[in-house]
Amino acid sequence: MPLTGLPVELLVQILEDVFDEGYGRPSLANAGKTCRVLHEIAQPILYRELEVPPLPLSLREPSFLPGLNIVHLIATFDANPYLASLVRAVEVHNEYRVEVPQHPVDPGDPRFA
Amino acid sequence: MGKDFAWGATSIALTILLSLTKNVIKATIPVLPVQNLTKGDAETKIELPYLVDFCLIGMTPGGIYMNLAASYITPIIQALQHVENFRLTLDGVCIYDLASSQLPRLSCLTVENFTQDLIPGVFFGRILRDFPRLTELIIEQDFQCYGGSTGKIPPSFLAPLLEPVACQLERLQLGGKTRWITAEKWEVEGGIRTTCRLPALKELCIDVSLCGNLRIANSLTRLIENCPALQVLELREIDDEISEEAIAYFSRRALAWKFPSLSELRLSTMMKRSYLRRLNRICEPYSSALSSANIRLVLRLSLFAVRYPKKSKIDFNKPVWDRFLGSVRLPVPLG
Repeated sequence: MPLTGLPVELLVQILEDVFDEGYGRPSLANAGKTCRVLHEIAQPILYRELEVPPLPLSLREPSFLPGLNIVHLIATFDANPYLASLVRAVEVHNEYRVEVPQHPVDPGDPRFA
Repeated sequence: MGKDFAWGATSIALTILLSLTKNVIKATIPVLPVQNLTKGDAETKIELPYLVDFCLIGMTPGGIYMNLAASYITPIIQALQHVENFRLTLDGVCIYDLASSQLPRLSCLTVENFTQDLIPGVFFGRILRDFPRLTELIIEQDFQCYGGSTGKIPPSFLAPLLEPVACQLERLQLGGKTRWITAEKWEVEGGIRTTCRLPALKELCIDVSLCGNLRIANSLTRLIENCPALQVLELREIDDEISEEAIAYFSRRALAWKFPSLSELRLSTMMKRSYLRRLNRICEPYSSALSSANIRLVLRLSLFAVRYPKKSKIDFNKPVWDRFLGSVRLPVPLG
């Protein structure tokens, strides 16, 4: 029996396992490209939780383009609003640090009154 | 390409991304050093009817950009105004945006990178007054970014902060080792009212460093004894000799029925062999007595260091648990 002959519930579980058990997003995307049935099942899992890659590590970098990945994502969603509607969680990473001044706040600031 | 332009573009991109993903339930985005967003960008309309968990993580500890973030955050905060019972995690730098945010349905507020330099307790308390449904308050700080001794929070900070939400607060978590009260401060400001009654509080979670000095512990206990509904007391960051005093102190208080409704004393620490050995030694005299008093002694182990922002990678294929737990005898049930 072909894989697609299985009930949809089982296919969903199989693809969920592909995603969860360490094979990850690329494997699930590959599975989704094999046929229409798997494509329709894989897409909601693929887009359910989005992790946008880290923004640049240092502000001192002379040339960087933060948000490039976000722009690609937006272009995809703009072309296909259905994919945007599948998203349930968005996480944009933030792994950079800047130096902290010792006294960042002006004591005379009226908001402290 | 200029940095300002790049960050501005990123902030707009994030705003657009959220405006496109309308069904999103949980969102975590960073604060960006955006200074010159145009008015049009700040007025971007976002609708997030299903969002219940929104985390605004900070890259700017110390409030460098506290005046700069407003225009970028405004449309997102506006989008949250009609969301029911949601959780909001904010960097300390964004607290001023919260002041005029009008979020009557906010149920849980986490403020990270907290420092008294930035947010006086009275001011913060005034903000909390606007959240009638707030039942959970978590105040955290970033150890890596600060360190040193600036920004210690005196006891006079806590009472005015809690007072506006005292009747409704069900869970309170105070973090920030080394950066809260000191004994010296306590004496100096002894005349200021430092406790308030929290009748609805069911869970109190504190760093043990708060209890390192017995005078502080006594005052903290006064605060806790003003919580007649307290069911769970959690002591966090148990990793040094201070922990020993704190656990012993609170165990004795619990056994002396000072907390009438307490049903669980929870100890949280990182999963490290030396910490577990210490815990084993500290808990042994109290575990059976607490158990017979119907107070569960629960150990909560975290797999990564709370103190460091990057999570440690733990390979579950290796016998981690055997290595740690096999070498120590734990008198407490694992929770």
